Amino acid sequence: MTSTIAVALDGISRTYRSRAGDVHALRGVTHTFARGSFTAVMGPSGSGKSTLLQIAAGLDRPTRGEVVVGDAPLGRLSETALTRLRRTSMGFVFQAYNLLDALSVYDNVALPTRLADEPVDRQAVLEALRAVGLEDKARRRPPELSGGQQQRVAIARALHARPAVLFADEPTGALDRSSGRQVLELLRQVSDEQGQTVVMVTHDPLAASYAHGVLFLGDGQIVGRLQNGDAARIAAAMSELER
Amino acid sequence: MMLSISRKTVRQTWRPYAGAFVALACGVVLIAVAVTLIGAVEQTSRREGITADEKLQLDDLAAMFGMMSGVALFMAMFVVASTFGFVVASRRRELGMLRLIGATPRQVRRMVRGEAGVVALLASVVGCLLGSALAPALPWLLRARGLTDLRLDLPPPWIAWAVAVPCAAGVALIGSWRASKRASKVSPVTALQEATMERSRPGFWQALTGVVCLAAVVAAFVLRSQMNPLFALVCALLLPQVAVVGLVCFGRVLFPLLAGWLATPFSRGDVTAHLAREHLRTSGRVSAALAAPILAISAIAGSMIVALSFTADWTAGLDRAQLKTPLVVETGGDPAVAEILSPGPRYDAVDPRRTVDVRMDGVTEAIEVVDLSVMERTRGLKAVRGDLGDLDTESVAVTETYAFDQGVGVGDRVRMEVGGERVRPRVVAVVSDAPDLYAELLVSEAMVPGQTDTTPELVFVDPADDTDVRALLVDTGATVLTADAWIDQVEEQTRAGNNLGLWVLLGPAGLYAGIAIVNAVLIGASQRRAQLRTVALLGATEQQRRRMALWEAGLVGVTAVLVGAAVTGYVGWLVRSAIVRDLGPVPMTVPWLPLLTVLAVCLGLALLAALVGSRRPRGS
Repeated sequence: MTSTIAVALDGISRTYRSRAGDVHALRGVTHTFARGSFTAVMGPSGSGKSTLLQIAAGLDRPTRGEVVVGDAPLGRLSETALTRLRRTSMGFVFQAYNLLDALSVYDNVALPTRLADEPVDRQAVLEALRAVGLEDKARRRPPELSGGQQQRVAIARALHARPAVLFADEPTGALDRSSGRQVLELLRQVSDEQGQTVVMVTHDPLAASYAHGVLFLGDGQIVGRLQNGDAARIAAAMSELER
Repeated sequence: MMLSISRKTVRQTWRPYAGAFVALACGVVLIAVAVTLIGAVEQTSRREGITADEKLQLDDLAAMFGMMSGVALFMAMFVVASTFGFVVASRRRELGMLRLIGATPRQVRRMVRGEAGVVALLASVVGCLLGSALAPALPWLLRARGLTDLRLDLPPPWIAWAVAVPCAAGVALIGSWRASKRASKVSPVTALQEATMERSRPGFWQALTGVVCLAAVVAAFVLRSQMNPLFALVCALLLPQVAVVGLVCFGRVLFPLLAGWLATPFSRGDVTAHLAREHLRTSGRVSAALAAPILAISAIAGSMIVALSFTADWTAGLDRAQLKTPLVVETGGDPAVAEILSPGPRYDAVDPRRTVDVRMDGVTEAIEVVDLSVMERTRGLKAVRGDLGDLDTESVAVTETYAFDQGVGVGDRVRMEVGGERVRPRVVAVVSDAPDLYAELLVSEAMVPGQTDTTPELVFVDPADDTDVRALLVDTGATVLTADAWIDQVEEQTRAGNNLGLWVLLGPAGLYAGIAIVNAVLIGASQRRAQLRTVALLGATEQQRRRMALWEAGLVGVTAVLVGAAVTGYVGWLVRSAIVRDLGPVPMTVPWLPLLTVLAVCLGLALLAALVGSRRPRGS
């Protein structure tokens, strides 16, 4: 039977050592992201949002606790196994669009498949580009596109690989309002129509309002949850946190 | 798959690879020319009627080109390593992204090596075409320069290509090896980081290498009183390279620090100097990459120039100390001169220089035939170990230099072929050095009876009080020189020979240092473009931005030249101290012109490249 949990965080702590002393970025965070859910992670600066995303995606190792993606406990995987898992099960969309300038839009979208030494289905790549409205830009290179278009290419890359979980870190941070809205609608669509899990770190209540639920972090701990909140309620909750 | 990304990356972002491309292409041209020349020598020497001297001349030419191309490839490796080091450092985020979306470390490594392969391929094509285009002009050039009189038969060009292309590929792969390993270690999380602090601390192996090298420099200082001039000369050739490696290992700490100190007096009054200083302090990689070739060429070339000049002082000093006759006659091969200079009452001493060619280790060497009855009075020949009186048909004497170089002493035997016969004479004495007065091996007349030239090239003459040697030789082809004038002339020839050797050795090294300097400045400038835009947004004029670039290149350049000068000074002092201990205070010739030329070229190149790099890119 397939589990309904996409990502499970169990008692995650992350401590960084520095000359000034230990910095506790996360303190015993436990949470599960259900399959097909779209969750926004919010919190003031330094609350541990990005650390949580990095640990959930296996980009950083927790000091304590365990992360399970699908059925795979990340702590027990080697670097190579983690790379393979990322290739097959995870997609990433960031504020900086993370595209290779030397490759065309088409090549950027097809890259994860080619890295896995698998044949590229041309129609599937074009389909992913069509889904983000960029089918006609397949031969362009990223520097020839606007910021919003580049971000949509990054989403198309994530759509094409059909990962179980899509991690997004401030995906609209560098975009204008209209481009940002398009990107958020796409992420919601991915979750609703494709059944993919989306975990998005943001500080923008409007962006968070596109998610099914919001997870609030404060000082490395989960301090609140909100389901189907609108931008005003989310903003109010954030103000409360920052007070 | 990764090769395709490599190809596209090099095609789309070719600028950072330009330095590696130029360095490799120059190396390929030199190799192609050297291989063509070696092939031509081989083919030509099979021709009938070629004399042994002509063949030797051709072999020497081929060896010279071979050496130049070897040095060129060796230097190209460093330019490639520096270029790819920069490329990887500036693409950390992109590499992190590749790892993030599923590239394994091996795939990333393969991609960077693929980029090196693409650059090597392009450089090979261009280099081979240029080399083949230049090859037909080579025989003409060699004849025009008087290096050979022969008409050379050129081999087919594919032989040069077959050697040059694998060499270029090998150099590119070795040069990019470390960078590709570093690239594969970039963590996926780097893709998420806005910026990373540059590490200035050297790694463990780098620090260990640096400490060992600098310890060798300190050891030379501690042992300086034990060094004779010969050992000091060997040190002078090796020590600068060891010192440069040691200093470069700590380059990311050392050069920003020194350049920062140097900038302090200027940074208070000039905001561009202040900005340049702060930038240098926080970008150790750029400072070290620019300083390394300047330091290498100024320290190594400077030390060689100074050491060879001081050695010429030393050999001239030895000659002066040992030469006892007031006159030296160059016979010009005129038998009448030898006749006039026959021993007799007109002379207190007459000592014709007589040599015999023997074969040693397959090489023809001239050895001295000594006449013990006069050589001590004329050329100051004396044994420092053993007894010259023991010289007979089965023994030789050797100079201190020969004994040091070959590791032989009194009682040992040396192998040689005299008049077609193999012999193993015993060393009976070690004599003091006098490089231009007699050869390194000396034998008695009895060992080589009747084999010496009938007309000597040189005759050392001590005339009787009432003899006018010039008047006696006035109608002959002889040149009569005072001892001092002859030594001055020999010293001048030695220095001219040294200069030729320096060109052969330092020519390619200098060319590559120039490429590395320009490469480092231009890549550094391209990496700094975003910061320059910010400075421009804050109100800096184009002139201020240009001045900032000039300050940066100038500060690092002057710092590296000063450190290079310190190494040169140290090496020169070691050699000079050993000479003074050996001979007393002989005159010292500091070759200021070549030293200042090296300095000016290094600084000029750095500043010129900085000016070019600071130009606003089109469309920005």
